[in-house]
Amino acid sequence: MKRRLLTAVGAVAFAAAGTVANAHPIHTTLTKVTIEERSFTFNVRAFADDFSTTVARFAGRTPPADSSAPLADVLRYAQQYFTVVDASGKPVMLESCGVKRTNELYWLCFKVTMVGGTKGARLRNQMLTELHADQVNIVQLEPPSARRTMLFTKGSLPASISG
Amino acid sequence: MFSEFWAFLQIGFRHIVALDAADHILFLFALAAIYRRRDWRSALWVISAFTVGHSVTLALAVTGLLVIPVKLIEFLIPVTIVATGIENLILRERAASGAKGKHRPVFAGIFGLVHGAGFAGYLKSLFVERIAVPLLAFNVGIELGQIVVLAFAAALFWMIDRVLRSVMRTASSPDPFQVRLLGVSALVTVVATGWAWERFPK
Repeated sequence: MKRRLLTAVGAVAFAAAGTVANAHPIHTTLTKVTIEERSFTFNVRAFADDFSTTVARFAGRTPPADSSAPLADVLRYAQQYFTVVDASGKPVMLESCGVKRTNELYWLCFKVTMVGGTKGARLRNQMLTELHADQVNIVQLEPPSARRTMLFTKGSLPASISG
Repeated sequence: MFSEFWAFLQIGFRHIVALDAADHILFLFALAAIYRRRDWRSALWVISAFTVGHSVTLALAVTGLLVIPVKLIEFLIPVTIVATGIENLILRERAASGAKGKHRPVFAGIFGLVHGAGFAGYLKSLFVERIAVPLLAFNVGIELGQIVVLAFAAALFWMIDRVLRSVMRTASSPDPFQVRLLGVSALVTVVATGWAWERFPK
């Protein structure tokens, strides 16, 4: 009995040991949203390796070893995966207000200007969800009144970001 | 503030109960394997010690007071699982008689320090300001996730014990608890040894 049990345990264990060897990172981005009367500024922090990989794949390139990401590709990627719509559901143009790279992180700044005001604006943040099924994008709104935190996961619907 | 707390609680919870959190789940299984329902107080001590351990390093690492190479932590996490599995195998006869070893909470606390550093490695890059609420909420989420995993482990072990008891009815049969403990501990030890080998810092 003991021998049979140990043989079964051994077979299962060796199979499992070979399959799940990677550590378990937290797949997340953090976005701080500053709300003004007619504009939003988004400051996004994303892990450089993941972000570079996903932008490169989006642009049809091989992910670079140095985790670089050309600004033009970053913007095109953001226009698709980080979208803001106004109260009527019309997409609003995202402009870059800077990209910075520190060791492990990309610091992305995007700005949208809304002629009719920010009321009714909604955000859809699907960044990196095509890379990791467990991706969680944290978005923190910083209106003058009270801070609000939202989570976006794969398939999340657009959520209101009006103060 | 509540929305921030709730958001980070969810992230901590998901991080533990996700299927690819196999290293943390396996560690909890290894910790829980030596206990039966009547030992819930001892189990609570061990889990609390683990919680204290990982809360300490998580806080130290996220605030930047402690810097540990990520590769080393990723290697040490499966080593803690191997050590717990081996300890279970060594203690299994004593465990069957009800003694679980007074040093076990100490080991769990030390191993908790390693696992906390593992969680922190990814969080400290993102949180450069206002970390108190996210940190506390993330920790609470992890604790709740651990409780869910342990409840699942307890139910699973209880079922295995029942099946083994119904199969091993003769007087000469080994103690079903010992057989289950041997099987679970051997399984986690072999799996975690494989991970430790692959994650060995080069």
